[in-house]
Amino acid sequence: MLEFLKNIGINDRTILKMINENSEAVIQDLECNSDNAVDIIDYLKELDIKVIDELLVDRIDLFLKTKREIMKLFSKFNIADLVKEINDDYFNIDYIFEEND
Amino acid sequence: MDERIIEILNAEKSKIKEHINTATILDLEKKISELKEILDNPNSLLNFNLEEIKKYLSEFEYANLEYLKQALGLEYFLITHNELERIKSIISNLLAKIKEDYQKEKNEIDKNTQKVQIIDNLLHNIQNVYNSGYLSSDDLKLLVNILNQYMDISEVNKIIGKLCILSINNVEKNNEVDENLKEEIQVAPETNIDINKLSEILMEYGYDINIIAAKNINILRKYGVFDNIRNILNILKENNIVIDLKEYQSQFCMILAHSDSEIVSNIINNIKEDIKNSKKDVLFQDIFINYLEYPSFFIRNTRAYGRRKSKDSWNDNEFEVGAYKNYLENRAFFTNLGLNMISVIKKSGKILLLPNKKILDNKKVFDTYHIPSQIYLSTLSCFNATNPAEAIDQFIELNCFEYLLQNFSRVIFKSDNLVFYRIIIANIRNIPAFMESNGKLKAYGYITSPYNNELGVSALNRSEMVQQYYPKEIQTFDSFINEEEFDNNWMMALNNYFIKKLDENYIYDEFSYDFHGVIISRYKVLRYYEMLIRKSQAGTKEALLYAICKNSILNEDEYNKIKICVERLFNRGVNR
Repeated sequence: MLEFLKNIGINDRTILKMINENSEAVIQDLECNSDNAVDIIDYLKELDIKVIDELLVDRIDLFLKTKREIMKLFSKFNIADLVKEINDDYFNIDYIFEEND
Repeated sequence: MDERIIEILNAEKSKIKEHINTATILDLEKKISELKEILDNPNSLLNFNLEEIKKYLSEFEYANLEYLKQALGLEYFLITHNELERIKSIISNLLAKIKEDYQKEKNEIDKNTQKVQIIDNLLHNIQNVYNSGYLSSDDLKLLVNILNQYMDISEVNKIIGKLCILSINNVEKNNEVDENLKEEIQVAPETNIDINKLSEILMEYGYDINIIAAKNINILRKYGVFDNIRNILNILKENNIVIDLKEYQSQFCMILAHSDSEIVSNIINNIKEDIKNSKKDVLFQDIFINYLEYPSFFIRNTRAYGRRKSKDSWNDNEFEVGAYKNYLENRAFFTNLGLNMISVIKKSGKILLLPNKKILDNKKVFDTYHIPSQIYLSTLSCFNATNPAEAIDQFIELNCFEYLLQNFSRVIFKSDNLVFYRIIIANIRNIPAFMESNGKLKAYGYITSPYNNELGVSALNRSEMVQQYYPKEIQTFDSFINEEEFDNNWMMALNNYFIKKLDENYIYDEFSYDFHGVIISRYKVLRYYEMLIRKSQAGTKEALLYAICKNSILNEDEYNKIKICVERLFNRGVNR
């Protein structure tokens, strides 16, 4: 399960946490979106977001989207400021959804 | 099991056992009994070797006892009443000092014996991993701590990685077996439909099969039914829904293979109704895409769309989990609470996948702690919490309840989250933990950031950093609590004598007790004490201490303050 994450260097501990903290259905939905999820992870790494493991565990729905959608959500912010806020406290990722509302 | 792990854990055990020296404690026990005898019968001082206790006495006391001992040995010398009383007084002081030493030695032995026991449990759990068991996060933490002393970090990572994989597989297997017991399994027959005909049907609706990856076509070929696929495609077409295969082909194939036109039609109608009820200017197509991100919404709650290989095992990708029932129940629940479903799917669609019971249980906890509904309904991720009460207790005990209310998504924290430890360290060092930003309370980055071991606190050293004290009493009752699912009813605890006494003497407000400056969540105490009552484990000092201290991050001094208060309640010799 979630082999595609192992292939891009996400460690087993994070995967175990993801499985423990999320419903089986959402894990399955992530499997279904594996190609987009890999693109999103690459994009977050490009932005220098360092809390990807935490986001995978607690904000798994972020990775059910497409890279295009994520870029659109991020584009409404000053990206450098937002990245700093997210690295300081990964719950701040919720800003992108609040603004989207 | 890796022989090296056994070897290392056994070496660690031997190292600890070396510190378990029972000779001193036996010697102290002997002295205590001899001194008690002298108290009862001062004449027995004659047979006592004063040299052995010299270090506990002042020069004056020692000389006094030596003189009296000699006097007792003289037939013609008559000991006065005052002299006897003096012997008793010196011996009684001596006894107190030796008892103190005895207690220190005993605590040390208990602590080390407990450590040995914990390592024994770890060994047992590791062996079990090879036989359908799994390691808890505490087991893994302890193992990392021990292994780090004996091997380099890359080797440790390799071992931990291997054990994690075994644990993951076993957790999955166990979950499957449990779920299988609860739900009727619907096995989807393999249909192996003709690819050319499939291609024609898809083309008829404007979808080019050549864009779809082989793994997705295989799902459709294996489990698809032509009539069903056509019906679903019709519904999509009637509603002007065109799915972008470049981005959502896996979800598209999953739905065509495992859903049906009734479910697709119901979800579409619900979305239309939600848009109508919403005051927001949104496009139906956009909202449908949000639902498409969760293909399990479109699958009925019965599990398994593959062939079962053996009675107890499913291989990966041999089954699909449906969440249609959860979606319907949760949609009804949130709509009844007046929530806008468009916001729900946009902000936190995954909560609609959760079992409705989990949502209801969490709401019950929030209501119990008087969390205003506008707070939890505007922070939907809070419904993902697995044990929200534990997090709320911790925020109360650290005097950060207001921060929690303004940042309610943090209710998903476990009670040992690093953030709690960093708040304590910040308080100790007189550094601010929180700031106000745009009228909202926020934590500083050094409190919340999960990397860089901010404030020197990491997952491995958090307890040491705050000198967390783990009293033995706390661990003894864990087994009774862990097997209990709590229903938020603590009536028996509320009517319990000791809880009433706690309320009379130490209540600070409805949410907390104040034990000489140590704040403890009152609802936590009620919850755990109620569970102990139900398990017939309540009524002792230790049980009450357990309920008070469970999960609290206390140092020894704070624990002792609480202990004194509890002992005071028990020493009153009351009738229950």
